[in-house]
Amino acid sequence: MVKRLFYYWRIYRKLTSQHIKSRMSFRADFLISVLGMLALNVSGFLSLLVLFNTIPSLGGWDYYEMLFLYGFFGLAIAPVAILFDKFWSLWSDVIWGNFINCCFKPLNTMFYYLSDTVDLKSLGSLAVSVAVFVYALPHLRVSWTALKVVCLVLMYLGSVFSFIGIRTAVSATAFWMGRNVSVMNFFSLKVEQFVRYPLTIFGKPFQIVFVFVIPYAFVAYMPVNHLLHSPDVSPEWFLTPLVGAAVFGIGCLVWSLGVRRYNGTGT
Amino acid sequence: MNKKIIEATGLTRHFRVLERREGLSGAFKDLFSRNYRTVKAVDGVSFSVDRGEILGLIGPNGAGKSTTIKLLTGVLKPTAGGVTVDGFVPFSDRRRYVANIGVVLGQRSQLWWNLPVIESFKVLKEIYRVPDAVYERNLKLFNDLVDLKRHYHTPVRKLSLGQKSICDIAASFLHDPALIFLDEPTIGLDVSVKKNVRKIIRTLNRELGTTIIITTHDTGDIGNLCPRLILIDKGTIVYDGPTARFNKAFGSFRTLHLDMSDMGEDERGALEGRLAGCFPCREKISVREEGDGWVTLTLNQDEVPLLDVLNHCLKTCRVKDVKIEDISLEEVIIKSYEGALA
Repeated sequence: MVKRLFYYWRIYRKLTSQHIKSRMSFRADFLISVLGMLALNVSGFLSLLVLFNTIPSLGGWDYYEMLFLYGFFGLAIAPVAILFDKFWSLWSDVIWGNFINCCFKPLNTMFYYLSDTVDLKSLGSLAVSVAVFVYALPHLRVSWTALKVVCLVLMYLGSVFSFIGIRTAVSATAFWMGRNVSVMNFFSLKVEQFVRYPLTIFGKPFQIVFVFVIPYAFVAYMPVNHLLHSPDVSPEWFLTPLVGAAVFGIGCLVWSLGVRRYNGTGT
Repeated sequence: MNKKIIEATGLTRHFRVLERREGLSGAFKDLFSRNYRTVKAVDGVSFSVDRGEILGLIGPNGAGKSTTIKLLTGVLKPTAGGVTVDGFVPFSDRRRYVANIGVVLGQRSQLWWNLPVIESFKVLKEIYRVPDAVYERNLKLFNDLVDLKRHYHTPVRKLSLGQKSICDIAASFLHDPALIFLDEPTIGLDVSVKKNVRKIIRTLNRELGTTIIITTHDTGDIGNLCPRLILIDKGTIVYDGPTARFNKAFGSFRTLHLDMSDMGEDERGALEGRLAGCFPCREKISVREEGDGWVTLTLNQDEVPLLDVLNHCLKTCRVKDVKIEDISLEEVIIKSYEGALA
């Protein structure tokens, strides 16, 4: 198991370092895309500032709590944005048959498919998220204990894996639908914009959907709410890592069902 | 070790394909009610392949070649029947099985677009856990054969089609697989590169003892590389045997394309009868309308001289253009059903 992990890691490191090297060689393109992403995120952050200049709190969350949620969300989706970027072209690789090459390697198909692409421009978003997170952190009314720190890390991992799972399942619809850009956009441009705000500001139907149907609530709101608004660590806190593992599992399952369904195009 | 590397018995794969309706209103109906039809892409195919053999798999478009390859490489699960390759059941053991094979799909490179060739090879070395000694030996072999070193530091995207094909084929041999699938390895290449590609395939097969299965449209590939061939049509095997016998049966056939668009349809229609009258032979000259004014004659040179037929046509018909080719696979299949290979 560990040996296998190292084996995958060596391949991944080799491919990504090469990929980054080749991206860097187009220096102008690289710098502009990082700066562009940075600007996009700074503007998102600024709109939050404007919002709080008019409304002092939102759903009972004050300014710094909102920022913390915003930063946590950014950190939770960063791994997907940076490492899973190739999901966006899955549909075309399925339609044109290039995906078939993934079936010929003695590796996990999802790993192999994703392994040659790193979205460096999302490092810009990551930087903004880190900055917001660090800026908000000292202003929170949380009595920190070592256990809470450990739980925060665990919940963060749960959030990351929840998000990976959801994105994987959404992307894998390409195996059935072919062109699934509309589905991808619906989730990433519409639905995921809600997730950076406290769940309580939305109506009950939305809350139920985000907890039980597509568990976006666990990507940011749940863990942050636990940390900020419950005095001590309770069993509820561990729900996020558990949901993360489950959703990740479901995502992988959907993927492998999709691959089974896939039969390439004729040559 | 088992002498047979591939054993397929009754291998079958059916597809359910959507029968699309015509036009925009049809597309709209398709959204709601779909009618499916079953296509027997591969239908009860049985054959075996010896270790170290180069086997040619030929057939017209849609004959079931690609599906057969997908069944053999573990991409598709057979609907019925089964196949074992080197002790593996391809679909069930996919990950362990593919470590032992190489696959090159004509226009679909397995190399990384942005990576220099040598870096691609290094990544493949990691993926297949190729021992250093094997890696060095194979690289040396490739260098002796085609001077691969020239391209080591060129990103794959900057290689020409021919260079890419050569690198792709070399890459598939890198991990000493027991079996390699080459799908249309020479498609789109010019004559000198084709020769080069064939040289590599032949030499590597001899040096490394790799079993190779080639699918192709190019009868030149078959003649130059494959001592044995399997001809597939409509998902079944039409011929499985020595290429020599195949060539003996069809080698003297020629296809004569004539542009007779200046002539009336009935005039062209009378040609077959007239040729049969002028050139009496056991196997009469077949005449087929191509629909665009071109007429295709297929004849056996052993029975009737090609030039005589051509002269006859030029004298008696208004012919605007002429092309002469080897017999087409479609004609081969028609003749095979008529018993040409029996």
